Amino acid sequence: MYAGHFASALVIKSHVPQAPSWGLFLGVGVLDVLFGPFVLAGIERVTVTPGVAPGFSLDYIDWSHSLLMSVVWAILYASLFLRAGRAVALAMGTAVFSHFALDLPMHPADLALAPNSEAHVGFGLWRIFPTGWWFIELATIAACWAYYWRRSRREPTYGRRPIAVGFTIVVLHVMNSPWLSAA
Amino acid sequence: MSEAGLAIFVVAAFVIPVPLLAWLDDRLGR
Repeated sequence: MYAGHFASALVIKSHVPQAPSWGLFLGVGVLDVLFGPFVLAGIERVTVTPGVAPGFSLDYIDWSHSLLMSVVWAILYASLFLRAGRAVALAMGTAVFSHFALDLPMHPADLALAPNSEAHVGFGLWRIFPTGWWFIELATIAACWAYYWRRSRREPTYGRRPIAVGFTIVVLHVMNSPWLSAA
Repeated sequence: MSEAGLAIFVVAAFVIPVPLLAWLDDRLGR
């Protein structure tokens, strides 16, 4: 999942409007922001698989994406925002952990419960529906965006350009489609 | 695309849209 993560930030923002938007949008991607340098440093492994959805195999992502480490990264990220209050910190932690929750249905069983554990989870929609996953994620984005838009109409502090927000996320989703993705 | 290229691409994909999305969302400049 890619653009769907940004859409999940919209739902969290709707519930905690005082949380800074940039923190939420960055927070939902923290696990993948860590994944990049971990791969470059040889801590994690990925293999490019042209023609096999989703275009890569996540061979070892236990330190960025395991259940336990997702909780750890969520707590660490949330702690950076404690000065903004407990609600904001909790929102930030939720944003980080939501990444694991949304990856779970999409990924094949490459999400470890903890680093180096035998047990891996993932429902595998990427593999079960090599192109259909894109529409499932689009539906998720639409639902999150509709919820955000509806709530933002009652709240004057966010949702300045809700249609543009939704459009931007859909554009990102199109760029990540099986038909256009760089991977 | 190489594995290293993919790793860099993923980070960029999650970081680059953040300022735009935040700007489009926020009415208070937070």
